[in-house]
Amino acid sequence: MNAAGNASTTRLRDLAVFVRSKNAGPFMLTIDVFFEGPADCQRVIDSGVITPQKIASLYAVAQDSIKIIHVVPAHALKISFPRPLPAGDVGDSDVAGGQQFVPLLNLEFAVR
Amino acid sequence: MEYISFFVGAGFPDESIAVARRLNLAFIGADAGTIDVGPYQLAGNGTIFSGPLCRYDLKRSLWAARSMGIPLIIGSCGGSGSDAGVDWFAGMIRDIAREERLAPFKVARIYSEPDRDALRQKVRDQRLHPLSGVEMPYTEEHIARSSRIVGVMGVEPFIAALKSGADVILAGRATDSAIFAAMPVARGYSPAVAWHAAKVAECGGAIADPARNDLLHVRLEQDHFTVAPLSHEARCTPWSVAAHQLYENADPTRFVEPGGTLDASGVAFEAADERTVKISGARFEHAAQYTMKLEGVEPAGYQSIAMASYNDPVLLEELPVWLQRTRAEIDKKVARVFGDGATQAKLTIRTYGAGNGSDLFGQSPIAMPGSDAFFLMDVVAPTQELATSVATVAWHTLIHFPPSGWSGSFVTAAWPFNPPVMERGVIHRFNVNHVIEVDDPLDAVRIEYEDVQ
Repeated sequence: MNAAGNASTTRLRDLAVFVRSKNAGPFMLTIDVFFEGPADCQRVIDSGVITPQKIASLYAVAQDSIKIIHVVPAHALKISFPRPLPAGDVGDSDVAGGQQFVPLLNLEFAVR
Repeated sequence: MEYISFFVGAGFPDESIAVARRLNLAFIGADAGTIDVGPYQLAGNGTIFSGPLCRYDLKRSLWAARSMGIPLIIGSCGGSGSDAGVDWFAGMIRDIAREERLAPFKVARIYSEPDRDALRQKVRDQRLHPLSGVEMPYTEEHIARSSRIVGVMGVEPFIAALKSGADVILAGRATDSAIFAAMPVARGYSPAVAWHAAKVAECGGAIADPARNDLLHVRLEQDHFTVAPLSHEARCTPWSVAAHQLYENADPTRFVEPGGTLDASGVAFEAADERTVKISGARFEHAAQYTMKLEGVEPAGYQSIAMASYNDPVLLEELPVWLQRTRAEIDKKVARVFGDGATQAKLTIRTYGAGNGSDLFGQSPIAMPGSDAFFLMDVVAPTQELATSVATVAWHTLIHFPPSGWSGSFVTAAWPFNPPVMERGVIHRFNVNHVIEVDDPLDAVRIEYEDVQ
């Protein structure tokens, strides 16, 4: 049984050490997902859950604008894509992009 | 070569600067700017760190640098690297020198706001190129309506100032790494080691575990470099340094600089001792054409804001529909008074605690919160009067609008400030995501020297 109360899946928030988001310059957003070690990171990669298609549907951004990078020495996944509007522009709700990792937290992965 | 780095205004422990003074440092370097917190700094609407906070760090670092007889190198002065930011820091340096009796020394002020005519010529000559990520048009009209434009400099202006004997360098907008790479490049270190060390150094003690505002000690060798925080309460680990490479970078393996690209894809992070990390393996590719990134802002309008909070369960249980009805009433009233002019005012109502407070991508629906909800109303309009008028209508309607089934006149909301509508003046937006081609890296900057007596 995992923290979500579901016997067959676990959530990203339970698999990752921490997840953060921030602007990379005023026009891009970048999300970092850190894992305890390389095994957990590889497990998430192998699950095929975090894909450009998935990110595109979660954030309503164009699939070809999404970059997913496996940063081996940090055992981390980096996901970068353009902000819907530049930092601080009229209508912006998160100028530094610090809260935009939240939609990823409940992504589900099969328990092995 | 050894140096220390910090971020001006964020501070560092006094003990760390005491430790630093016993090291054999070549210079003290500091970044003072960021564009990531929005356009207001570049527009001149304030800074992240206030005068007293910056001054405190400048005082301690200037004193250390002068007592050790080494240069103090600061980039992106004043938070954005505007000409005014350079002059602001220069004024503080002069005052500190007088008060602390640190003169004489030579200051180089490097300005990076480009000449507007020269910039227009770049557009006409098609020597301006868009950067990837987001497409924005940039024409002579954009230049004309920009309230400020800075060019982001590389190491060359810093090196010129060092060669002229500057003891203190106060630079306008610079890449974070250029501040720290300049002296190593000038002294003949391999560009890969110089630039990668600078890239790691730029956030000071933020790369340590625990991350903190501290001085970072960087030591360069011919084929690698090491980093360690100066506070003994923290340490650098291969993971803490590798992880920090991801911070605020869209791609942590390639860093584009004016004169080339740092390729950090094959980098090795090893523990040199329990608090020091050894880093090697980066490569530097020189670019065929030197380029400077532009950062610029233009006015977006006048802003007025108001706030309201609710914990009435009767209202919160129908919040999505209540908000829809309230919004319709607001729009009707604004249109009645301002007619077509109403469309020039952009009203945004955010519901914190009800789903969409900080949702940048518009994916979260308004939800029914369990306990309370906080509303932030923000209006941007061509005049402050219109912005405030619309914000007042929004606030006044929102605080009196009843949930369905209730009638009579009453206040439904709590709000924390008086007056309830706050004027935030002109707000700005970024309007450029381009680089310009530059033949001589010193062409697009101005360097002025002064002897502080």
